[in-house]
Amino acid sequence: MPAIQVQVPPERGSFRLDRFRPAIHRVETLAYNQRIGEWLRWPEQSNFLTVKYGLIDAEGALDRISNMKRGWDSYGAEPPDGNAVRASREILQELAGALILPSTIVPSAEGGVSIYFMTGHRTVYIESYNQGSQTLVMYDQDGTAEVLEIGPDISRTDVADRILAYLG
Amino acid sequence: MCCSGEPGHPRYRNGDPEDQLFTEGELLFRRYKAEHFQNGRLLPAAFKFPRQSFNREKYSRPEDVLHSDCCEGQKLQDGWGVLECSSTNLPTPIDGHDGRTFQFEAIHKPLECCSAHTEVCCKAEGEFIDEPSKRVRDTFRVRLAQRMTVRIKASR
Repeated sequence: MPAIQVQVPPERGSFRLDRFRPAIHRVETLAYNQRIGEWLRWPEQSNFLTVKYGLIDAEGALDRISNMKRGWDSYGAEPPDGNAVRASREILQELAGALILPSTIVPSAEGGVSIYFMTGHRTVYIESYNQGSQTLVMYDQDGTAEVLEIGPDISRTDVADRILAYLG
Repeated sequence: MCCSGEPGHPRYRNGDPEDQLFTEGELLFRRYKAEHFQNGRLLPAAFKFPRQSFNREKYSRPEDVLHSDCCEGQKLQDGWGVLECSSTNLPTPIDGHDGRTFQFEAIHKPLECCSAHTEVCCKAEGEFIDEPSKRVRDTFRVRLAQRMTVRIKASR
């Protein structure tokens, strides 16, 4: 009677991670590590780029607005002057530091520059007038408006927090 | 300024008197720049304060506000449209928070080449007020912008 050959599975050794080490080393190139590093820093860089390109757009809008002629609105409005454009540029840079970018920038029929920030049902604008004053206006779709003069009613350093609190 | 005399021009004054009777719902028309209409909203920056100009419906078609006779002779290019609102549904009154209440009303002020010309004026205690507080000015601009609707859309 022939002997029965029992199939015995090969002995299982302990899991040896070092078996994969050559493969891991193959993908861990310098470029790979740089890419991973960039990926980990992406949220920070993304904010930086968003703000950077947002400010470039804003600067373009201010350049265009600063070249308007008297009566640009066909109702005799004064063009924004250098004071209004400068004040708008400064406040835009401050707000960009708080990651607040404008929805649009337009000339104001009051004589100055209006910077708008919009969400679903709420709108905020900052108007910089040719005479040098600035106003922060926040309103909702029902026309409930809060009007604050920057300086007398609210300090300039508090404007960003106020906008964020209002727009949510 | 000479009127254009073009065929189909807006109604000229021709010595007609002012007409301060605005019937219920009579419309006021005003031109706007495309850039002042964003995300389906008219921006308050489209209005100066005080005495915003309009054309009243009784003597004007909506498109007349784009005609040079109603634009001090300016020939407008692309990028302009026409808004409308009711002369009897203006955002009034507005509380000045200083003990005064400000009323706003349409006043017919015909021009030689634009008989329909009308201004919206601010009054307190029966007196014309051109410089109320910023709170009143901007609250009015905000609410007026919200009441205006597009009659002729501006091309961009």
